[in-house]
Amino acid sequence: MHGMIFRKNKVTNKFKLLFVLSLISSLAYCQRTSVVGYNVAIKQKKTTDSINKDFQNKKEKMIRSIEQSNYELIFNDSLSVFQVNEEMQLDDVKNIKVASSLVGGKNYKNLKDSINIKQKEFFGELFNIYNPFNEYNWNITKETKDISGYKCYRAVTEIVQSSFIRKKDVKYLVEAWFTPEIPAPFGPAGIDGLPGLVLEGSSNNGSAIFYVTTLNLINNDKSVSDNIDLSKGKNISKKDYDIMIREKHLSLRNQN
Amino acid sequence: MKKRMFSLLAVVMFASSLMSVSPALKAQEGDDICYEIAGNYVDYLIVHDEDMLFDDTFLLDMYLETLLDCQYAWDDL
Repeated sequence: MHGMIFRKNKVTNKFKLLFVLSLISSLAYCQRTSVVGYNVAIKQKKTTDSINKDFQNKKEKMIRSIEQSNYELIFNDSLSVFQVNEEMQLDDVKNIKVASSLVGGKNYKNLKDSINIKQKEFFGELFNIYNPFNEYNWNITKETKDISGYKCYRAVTEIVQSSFIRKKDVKYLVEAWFTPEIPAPFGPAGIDGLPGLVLEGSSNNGSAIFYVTTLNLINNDKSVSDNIDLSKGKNISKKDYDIMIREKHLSLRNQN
Repeated sequence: MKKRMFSLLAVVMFASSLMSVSPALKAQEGDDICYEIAGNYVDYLIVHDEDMLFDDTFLLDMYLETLLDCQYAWDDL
């Protein structure tokens, strides 16, 4: 009789222990931080311009800076930040600046409060540019491919942006390869909002393709909050920011 | 004699005033050239960017960067 009670207690204790362990691991899962590394491939037509050789060299150097830079997406269950990985390139501040400019600074997303911000410096001032939370109206296709061992689905959409400098509306094809196996709705350079992590994506008609290089799904050395400080930036809507860009462009061109 | 002294003084004063103005003139000339170079570079990027890789913000960043690079180089001359 005593033996049975003892065995029963032993089983109950085992269950308790299992329950506590699973609770700890699920809490750890919720609070864990993941870090995904990306690189970018630029597809630009080669031009040989004998008249503007200096400009051609300058442009090629700029493209190299962008391609040689490393980008990282840091996320947890509700927040993400995408940025140029500055740790790896402290020797070349200019490369970081150019690469960061291409991705529009730091891309921050907060799922709980439906916030989508690009934090970037413009003429010495830091801005928090508020973008629409769901920027893209995705069309998920049946096309699949394997990326880093994950089955990815292709999603596409189109957006139209008004370019003041080009003096016309520009249509962009946005493409993403995401995996539902990692159920995090984040991605590189603001290419996100899908039922899975984006491992490859392009927002400029395929001329700049971000592709995953490293996947570290549990990395508690980094955190989203350590990599972006929204209190330092001045809040501005995307619309007002575009107006500011337009006015700055006009004033600069008029000085010449 | 007095007249010659006066004209020499006038020449010296004119030369010294020119010397004090020349850095400003030099800077103005540099600014004009640099604004033109920066503008031309952005125009070049637009013409050779059929895929629309660069958006307005990026183009303006490149404009500013080229302008500042040029101005620093001009100041070092």
